[in-house]
Amino acid sequence: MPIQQKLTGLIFSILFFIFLIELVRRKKIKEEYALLWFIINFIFIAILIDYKILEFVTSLFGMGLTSSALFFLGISFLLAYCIFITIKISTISRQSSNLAQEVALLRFKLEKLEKESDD
Amino acid sequence: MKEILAIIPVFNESRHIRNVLKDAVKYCNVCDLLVINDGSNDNTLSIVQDLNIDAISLPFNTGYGNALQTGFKYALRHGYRYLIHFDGDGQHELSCLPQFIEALFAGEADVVIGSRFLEREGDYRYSISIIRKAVIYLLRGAIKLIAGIRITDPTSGFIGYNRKALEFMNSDYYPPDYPDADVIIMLSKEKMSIKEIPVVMYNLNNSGTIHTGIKPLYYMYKMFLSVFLSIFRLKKKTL
Repeated sequence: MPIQQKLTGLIFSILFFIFLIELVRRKKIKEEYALLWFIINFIFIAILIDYKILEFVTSLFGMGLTSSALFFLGISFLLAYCIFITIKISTISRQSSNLAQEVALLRFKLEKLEKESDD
Repeated sequence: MKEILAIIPVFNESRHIRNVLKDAVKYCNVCDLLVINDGSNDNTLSIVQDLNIDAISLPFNTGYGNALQTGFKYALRHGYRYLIHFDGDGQHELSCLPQFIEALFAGEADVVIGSRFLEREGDYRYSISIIRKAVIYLLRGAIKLIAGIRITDPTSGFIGYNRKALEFMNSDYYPPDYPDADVIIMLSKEKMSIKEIPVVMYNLNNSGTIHTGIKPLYYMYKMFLSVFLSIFRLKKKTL
């Protein structure tokens, strides 16, 4: 791998790492959800440091080009992450509906009690 | 407290709710009435309060099925023996309510569905588009195939339940966004008896009511997926 390519990759990886840290620090994303992105970030840096890792993975999947392996792994990760997020959203929306029901029922009960104590 | 709770889920129904509630009071004097206000942003709630009828207000719009389930929870927690729900847009003729009450009290079935398609002495005022008719025929076929029962109006929103059926409606199986044919299949899977009685429904221009939130295509997708999945749930149960 040419040194320029390596440097560009490293700079982007480091910037991405700083960006992630900053998002977690400002509590824009929870540690739980940042974990997968950190893992990806480290895998990227590892590949930049030792290109043999990518060559090994490529041969493992029986692919001819390292770029194919990279795309395959990248898209697979994004798909898996999207499904994970979809599951999370579904859970959260179910929970928020349940909460809305409970809030409505409690508010109704409270209003009834207040009315009774006023009378 | 009475034995029957009648719930009316509403979302921006200020045009119709007054008449619906007046009819409900007239035809259901053995019921407690409860409006479930699903985050309306018009004056629906104040109309209901003016009429001195109880209303539970959800903090934001959560959808028809979720609004209904709020009422199911209320009924169960307050020990009602029966629950009837109908729409707040005036599409259901409430003079049919006494028949529901009769059927529920007589224990004729666990679930009583008001059908606009069962004959009722020539009192047939509901005409529907071809697409909707096709969907209804498909759903009827699916229910017949999977649950083995004949239901003429699988998309009815005019339904009565006894406590046994209510407990199921409050379980995790209940699909909270738009319950219809899938619920009928699941109820029948749970060995609940289902009976249809003829009711009158009116065609309405439903703009701005609870039925326009879900687009018809999405509705079809959701319903058929849900019906399809109920086959596998059925298989799992019998294993």
